[in-house]
Amino acid sequence: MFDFTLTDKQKMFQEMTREFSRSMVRPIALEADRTGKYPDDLLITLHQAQAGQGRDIRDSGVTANTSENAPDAEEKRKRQTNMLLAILTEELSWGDPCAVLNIPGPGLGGPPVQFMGTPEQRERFFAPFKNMSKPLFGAYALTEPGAGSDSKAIRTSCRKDGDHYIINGTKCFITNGNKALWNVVFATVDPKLGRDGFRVFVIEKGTPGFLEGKVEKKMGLRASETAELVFEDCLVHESCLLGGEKHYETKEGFKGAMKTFDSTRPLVAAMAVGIARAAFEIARDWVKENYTLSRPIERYRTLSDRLSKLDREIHAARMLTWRACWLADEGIPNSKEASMCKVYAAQVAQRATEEAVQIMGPYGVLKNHFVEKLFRDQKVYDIFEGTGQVQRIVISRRIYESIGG
Amino acid sequence: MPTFELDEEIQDMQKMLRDFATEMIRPAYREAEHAGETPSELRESIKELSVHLVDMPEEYGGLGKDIRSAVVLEEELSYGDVGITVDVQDTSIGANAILIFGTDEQKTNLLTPILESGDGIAACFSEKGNPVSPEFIETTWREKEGSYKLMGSKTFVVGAGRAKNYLVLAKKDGSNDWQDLRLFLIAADTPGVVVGDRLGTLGLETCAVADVALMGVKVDSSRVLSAESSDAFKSKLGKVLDYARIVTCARMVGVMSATSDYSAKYSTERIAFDLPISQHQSIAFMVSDNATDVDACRWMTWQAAHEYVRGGESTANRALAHVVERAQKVATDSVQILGGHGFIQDHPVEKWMRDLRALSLIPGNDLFPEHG
Repeated sequence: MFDFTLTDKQKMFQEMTREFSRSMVRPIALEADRTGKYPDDLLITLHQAQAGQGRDIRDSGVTANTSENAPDAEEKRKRQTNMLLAILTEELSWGDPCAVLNIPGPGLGGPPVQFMGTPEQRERFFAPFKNMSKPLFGAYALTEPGAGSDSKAIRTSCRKDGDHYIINGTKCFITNGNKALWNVVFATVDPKLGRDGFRVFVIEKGTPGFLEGKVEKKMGLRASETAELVFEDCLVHESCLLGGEKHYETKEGFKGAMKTFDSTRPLVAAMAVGIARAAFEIARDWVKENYTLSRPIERYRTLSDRLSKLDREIHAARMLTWRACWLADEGIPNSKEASMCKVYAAQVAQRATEEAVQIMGPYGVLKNHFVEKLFRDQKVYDIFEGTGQVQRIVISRRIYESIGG
Repeated sequence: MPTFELDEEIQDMQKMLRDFATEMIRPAYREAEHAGETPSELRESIKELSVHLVDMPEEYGGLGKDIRSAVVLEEELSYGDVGITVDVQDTSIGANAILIFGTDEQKTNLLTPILESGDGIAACFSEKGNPVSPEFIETTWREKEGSYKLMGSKTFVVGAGRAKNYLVLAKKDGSNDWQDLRLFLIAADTPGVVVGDRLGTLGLETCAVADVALMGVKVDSSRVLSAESSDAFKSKLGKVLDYARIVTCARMVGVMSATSDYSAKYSTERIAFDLPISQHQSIAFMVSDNATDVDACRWMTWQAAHEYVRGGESTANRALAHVVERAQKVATDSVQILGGHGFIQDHPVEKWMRDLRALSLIPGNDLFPEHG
């Protein structure tokens, strides 16, 4: 029967991460926001801590940094990798959402390599991350100036020439794209073919014709790199085509890439829950410690009402997130639920940070107050990995499919 | 391990109830509303489904599951129609109170026959003044030679004049001590029990709601429920109310789900500007938000049921506050999707909108708030 008690192991990981987030991440977050950089030693610690959490997380796909075979369905079910990741992501994001985006490893580029790559490719592209003495990244480059969620509209082209491909085009808003060892890059043999024309490459830094684009300046998440990638007659060896040419003869190629998003939207939701909880807790504590007209302001009823409303919404967002993760762990399609938790949690993060700022009044807008940063950080959660509007398109399509409308 | 899985047995019952709700309850909702009661045949067949037994212990004739099963099944019944569900499912909240407060002897003597007969127990908690603590309760008891006498008046009694039993909350005459509070299980035909005129209501018109006056009602001590200390009474009453709140959440989720599904379906059939309105994003997005709210409310309800079973810190109020708030949104938007058709009685969404508002005010929901 349904039950929401964490196992001892899940609880232990949660508490470890919470403590790490409190003592190591939060204290450096404002400084990182100002400089745009995360300290290397913290990133290395993060990487090692994550690796230390063992196979539970490593094999999840999302942070796949191993060439070991993926676990079978029953094993996955027992390990609840998505559930555990969501729990830990919330804790880390509570410390600073940028910390989650800065975890060294293949990042969002991991799942396509894991799901679509040949054994040789997995070995080749994951191997560098076994070195934990410095922070190394992979990245995922699908979005273009004219194509985001509507991915079939991409224009980055690829053309076979001997044993190489020639890539031309521009990618934008790529997390860690500039500093990444390699990017998983989506290109098309012919835009008219839509998704059937897709080819997915792993393009390494330094490949001839892969030019460094600009690193964007942003409203929030400033300690996370967002880069433009430019390909001008970029020459990529055929061994970098994920899965090899045969892989694209069937329609499974693109589905492989899309699997990435069904497993990552809940994690984006978990990050948003972490942000919302952080803002809520700061506002709650601030209310306890401050006085207006010589009364502790927690005695003002409207304030406690507003705080408890946030508390409720944060729990609702977490339950939606857990639901999507549980479905994923059970191997049940969760496209609708992944979109639901993503769209909902982003809105909750937005309301929570806005309320926190409002409750704290002038203190909420000061640069050295954490809620000011959270307020700027949260906005993109309703935008990246599919805007709230795109999520609603996905959800309503799934609903209409199920009732034959 | 966090899981959303249902026992196979409950899953089977859930499926069966969904069919029953759609085929038997749904077609009767309007007639029942206008008549102000559930047709007696339907009432019998719902009672026969034994949903009220699911979370009662086997030794008293129950099925031995817990509230987690109850919320799943109550949601399904309410998916058919919640007016009928509240009207017919009138046993479990009172039965649960006997289970929580009763001695072993009381459970055997009082609970077993009620579970066997499926007789209703109407909760008489509310008074004209909101009884958030004993000093606001005006219904009093006096004890004389092992028997009790009750004086006072209760209001908003759901099932008044229809249930075979009343469960009355009263304080000792002259005492505001929590320890002196008692619950009295009274047979409806006991002399001195006077049911007032039926109150017209915003929604849930299928249910009988009225005041109940207790004019020197004599109650035998075997039918008096008490606790050993003030703290024990508070915590037990808290448990009784939590149970009622969680079940109410489940029922509201059932209606939200029904109205959300109904309006989604309607949007695929209604044409405007040469397209089914489902193809207009302003409608599709409302459908999407409705479905998301229904899911969130369901999982909040399940989480509260889980904490109830585990005995952890209660989250019933939190769930209820959330469900109540979102229910209004989902109900209103569903009516909006149907436009003019949402406003008239050819479709059920206008009724469900009123029902949801009424449900959120059902007695017990706003009593003894711990947090809100």
